[in-house]
Amino acid sequence: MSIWNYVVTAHKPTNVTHSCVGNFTSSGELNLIIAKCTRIEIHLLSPQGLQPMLDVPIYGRIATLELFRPHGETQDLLFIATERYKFCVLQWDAETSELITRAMGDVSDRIGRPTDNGQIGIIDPECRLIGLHLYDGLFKVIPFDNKGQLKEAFNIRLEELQVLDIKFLYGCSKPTIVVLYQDNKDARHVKTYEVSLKDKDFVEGPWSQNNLDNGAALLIPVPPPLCGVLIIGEETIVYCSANAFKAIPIKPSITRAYGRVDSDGSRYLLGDYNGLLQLLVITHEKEKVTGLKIELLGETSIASTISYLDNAVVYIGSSYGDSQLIKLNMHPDAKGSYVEVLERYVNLGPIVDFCVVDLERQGQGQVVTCSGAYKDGSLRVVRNGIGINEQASVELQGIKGMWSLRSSTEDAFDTFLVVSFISETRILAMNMEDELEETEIEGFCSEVQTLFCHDAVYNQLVQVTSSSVRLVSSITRELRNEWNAPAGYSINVATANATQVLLATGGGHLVYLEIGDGVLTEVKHSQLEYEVSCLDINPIGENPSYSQLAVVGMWTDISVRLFSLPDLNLITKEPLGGEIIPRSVLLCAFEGISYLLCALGDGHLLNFLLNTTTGELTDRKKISLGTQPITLRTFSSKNTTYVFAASDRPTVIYSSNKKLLYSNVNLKEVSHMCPFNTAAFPDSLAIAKEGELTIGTIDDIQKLHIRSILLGEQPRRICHQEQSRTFAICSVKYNQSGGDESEMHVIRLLDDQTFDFISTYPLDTFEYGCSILSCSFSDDSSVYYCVGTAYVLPEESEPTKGRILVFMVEDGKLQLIAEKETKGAVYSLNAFNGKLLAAINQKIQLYKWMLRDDGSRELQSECGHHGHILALYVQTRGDFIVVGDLMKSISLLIYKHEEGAIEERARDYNANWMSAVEILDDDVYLGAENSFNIFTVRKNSEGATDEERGRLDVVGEYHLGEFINRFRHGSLVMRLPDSDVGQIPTVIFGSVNGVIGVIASLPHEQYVFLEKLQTSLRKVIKGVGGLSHEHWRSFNNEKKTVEAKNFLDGDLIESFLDLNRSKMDEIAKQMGVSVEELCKRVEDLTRLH
Amino acid sequence: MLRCFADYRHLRGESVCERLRSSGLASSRIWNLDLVFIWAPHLDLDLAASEKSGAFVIMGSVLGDWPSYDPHNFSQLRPSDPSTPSKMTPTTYQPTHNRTLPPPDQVITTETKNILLRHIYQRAEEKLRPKRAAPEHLLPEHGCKQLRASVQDTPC
Repeated sequence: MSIWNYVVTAHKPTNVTHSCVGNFTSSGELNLIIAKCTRIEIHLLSPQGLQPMLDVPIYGRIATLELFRPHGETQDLLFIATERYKFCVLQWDAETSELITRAMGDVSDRIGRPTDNGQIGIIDPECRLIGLHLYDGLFKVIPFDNKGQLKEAFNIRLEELQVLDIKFLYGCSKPTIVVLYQDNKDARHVKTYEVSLKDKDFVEGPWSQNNLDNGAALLIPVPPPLCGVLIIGEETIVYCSANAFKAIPIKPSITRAYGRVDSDGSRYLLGDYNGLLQLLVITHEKEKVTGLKIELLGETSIASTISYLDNAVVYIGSSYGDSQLIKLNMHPDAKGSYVEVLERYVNLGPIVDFCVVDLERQGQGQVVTCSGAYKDGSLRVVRNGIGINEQASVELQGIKGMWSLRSSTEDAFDTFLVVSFISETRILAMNMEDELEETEIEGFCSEVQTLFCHDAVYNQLVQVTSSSVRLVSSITRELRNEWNAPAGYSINVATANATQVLLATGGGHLVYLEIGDGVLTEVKHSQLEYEVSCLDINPIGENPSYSQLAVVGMWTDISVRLFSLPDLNLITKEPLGGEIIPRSVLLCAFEGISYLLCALGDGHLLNFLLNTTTGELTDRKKISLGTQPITLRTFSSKNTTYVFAASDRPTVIYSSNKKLLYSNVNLKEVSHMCPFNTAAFPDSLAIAKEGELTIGTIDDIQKLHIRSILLGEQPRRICHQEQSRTFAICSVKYNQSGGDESEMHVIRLLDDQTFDFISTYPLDTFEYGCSILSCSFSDDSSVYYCVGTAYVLPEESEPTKGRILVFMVEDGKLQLIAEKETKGAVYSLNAFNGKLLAAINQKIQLYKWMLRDDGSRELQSECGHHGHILALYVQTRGDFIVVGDLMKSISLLIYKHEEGAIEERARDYNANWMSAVEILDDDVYLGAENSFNIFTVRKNSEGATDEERGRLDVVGEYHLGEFINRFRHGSLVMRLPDSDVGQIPTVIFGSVNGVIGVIASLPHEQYVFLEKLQTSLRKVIKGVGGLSHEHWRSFNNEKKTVEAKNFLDGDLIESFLDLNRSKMDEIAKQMGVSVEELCKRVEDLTRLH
Repeated sequence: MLRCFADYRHLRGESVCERLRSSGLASSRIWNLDLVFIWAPHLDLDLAASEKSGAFVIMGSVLGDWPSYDPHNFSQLRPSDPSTPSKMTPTTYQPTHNRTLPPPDQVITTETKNILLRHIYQRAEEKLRPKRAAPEHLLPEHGCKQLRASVQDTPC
């Protein structure tokens, strides 16, 4: 049963909704504070740029974020109001680096119609009161007393019902608001009111202005000495005050955000819906406004918030594209733009659709999202993996091997990097300026390829070439001893550690040498029946410089063999099976467990548990990492050992809780890797890839990596087709030419590797792409893309006409095979029993794929089901159809083959406005609705009466705080069948704020355990601002508020791992388990995402 | 031999990319020419218009003198490669202290009295006030003063 669910965030919200600048963390420090819907981020301005300080989860969706400074305070306080009518005032305590709550409260009213245009929260510039407009016709006042303390709030009746904006005016002896509103004839006006705190009422204000721009939607209060207000319209900008009125016409545009530049209010940055950034200047003489000027500066992401930071640097927060840090230049660049983008911060929001694909075919899902809007639309490829932060890079072709060496045995850092090519060996070293430069080790042979290098005891270095083993002093760099291969034999493969060398020559000769002070001693020789393909003597026993085991991979019989050292006695022979030879073997130990890793020439990796005393190999596991030969190397980062598997799909192998885990590295192809730990680049790796040598550090493990494909248009639906290795998207392109704005809807075909557009099918005028599907039909082996469309005519309230288009990918082109007109918008398409199931306005319609006499194909209507308001989201399983309705929650239909009919089986009678549905299992269905909640319903097959069986019981409810546009089955992490979490089914969701999350259906026992943990954690991890977690997660919409049930907050549960030991102990004690056990269970969960 | 990676990429940048980046358009190495065609005329148009109005003369004066709180801020910041987004991962805050709850008197609620009732009472009080003038005078003087003082607590 999938009713016990665990919800966790894999990618946090990135949609920036608010930002403000002030002295928050200290009176001398300037901070940028950013709101990303349910989180705030605190940054510090520094010479190096923005320095992130803290990411603060807020138990609410942030509606207002304002910094203010009450009288007598030396630093700013932060006012946050949430959409569920809670507010808090936060203060930074620099001593403890904690956020403390100065005040909080509930500002909801029992009766009231929530405002249509969003909540407004403003603070009087003189800090006399906080004003809130939350319900139509009401203005709420929270007064301050003269000590800066808040007092009981009260409501004032506001006559204007359609309020567009409210701001406090500067420089008024009594707190005065200016209200921009629309009357019942749709004309827009501004009006001012003084707030009388004594009478708890409004007093008519000093001025008003009627009949403004019909698109006026934004007020900007102007600080002293000028005072007054700017009214930003779509065609005009007006300055208004008690004694002045100035207006200028502007190019038609919708201003979305503004940021004040100067403290005297003479310049403002305005950002419009096209991402154009303009500077609005108030010209004035002797504190009197003489006029307005507006200048175009350039283009940015479409701004939702603009904050001028310092020294011409501006933060552009965006909901529709990546947020940016920009610099305003004095002089235009070649394009005439004054804007220079300094930094870019990834934003996935709004995710309107996504698909889960395994592009590399390695069992790990990647999410490809339709992100962004308008010109900032993009596709984002999100996958779990490890990032390499490149520090330096140089072009170098044909690298055949790399090793790092130290200049003395005691040295903590590496000095030399030996890079081997086909016919030479070059040595690089860090110089005094921390730059890599070429150097020489005189004792090394540099005219030939190097097979292996290693540091050796007694300040020595070992180089193995095809003809000899050279022992060189790392101090004098001179040759101290040399072992030559017997005449007629050349060394094929070699390995070494600090005291031992093992090599194999042609003819299957295995030679074992030991390293002394200036001497190389041949200790043992052995002839094997076949050639040796790879070998390793990495010490994993107690002595870190001496191995008692050697592992050898063999040609011909395709086996790995373990030998004892120094006597080269065969201990174990393990046939690998198959025909692919082992290319790299490695002995390694993770968390005290020894493993033998063996990489094959076809990209497969075998791992065995190794008993170091008996040499026994057990627990053989095989995994596919790529398609090319793999080279294995160990490295360490942050005191943990990892194995790097260099191949066409580079992978890092590590261990957690005594389990081997595999994580992708976000590099395309790596031929060689070696650790290169220098003073300048500590804990770094040298990586040879695609003609480039790169030095980089490794990121945290298990982090999402995002590749952005900017489209310049807005993708709305996406789907992948495995067979043609393509994506198809429904996309909309906004054109602006000569003041005319038009939008064009297209279907595009993209290559699934390069993401290049390879074919485009334009839709008709007014025709929107609504749904897309890759499917095949019964009696037809071809695979098709089906697209559902709607003709959205301006005069129609709902589309009455649409089409289903069936395409085939032929020669990289979209070929239209069939089309079928529909009587409405095709909101959803599903493959269903070899047929096509479409949701068209109120109806669910099933189409057969018919062969005409002339051999062509057509869609033929078979049956349908009426009775929805709008059937928007459809999922199917077997003969069952789950429909998410615009406003009638979830219903369950069944297709009856014999009768050729679709009938309703059951429905949820709640009036949920749906935004996505998914089937969790045969009986349990998951839904998301537009008040940011998710819920599960269960089919009640065992009900005693028809009435009971016809009802879907609500079994789970939870307030997610995110608007979900799509659920998809799948996983972001590699699901290894042997792991516990591999058995847990997961659904991925994507939201408007750019959140990617995972809903995992847990076994009941685990759910009960974690629910107990969540309850304990609520008492230890407090809500910032005193906001309650329980209240935040309670299911809440216009109709009801009920406690969350059968969903757990994974974000809270996983934050257990970040607690200090004493808090962990406290919780473990309450739970009655050991801390280790608790950590292990929570860590297991973190592996779900 | 090895240069700073950012510089290295910077040098490799193509001219089209460069131009688009400075106009805030580009943030990827993947380009399609459509993008250039759509957006370039738009920008040019606006600039041409402002040029006509003599904007460039004004630009010089309005674009200078940007406010500075601390001249050092951003002084060492160099533009990053537009194709590699900035990695800003602040640590997540988990308060476990007891000061997430405000002082008891700072838990704010809304006055429960209905606006209409408040109005009616206020009006009634206003009506009654002249009649009450006499008994008020009978009250101890400081009581009256205190009442006023408390009203003035809130600057209005």
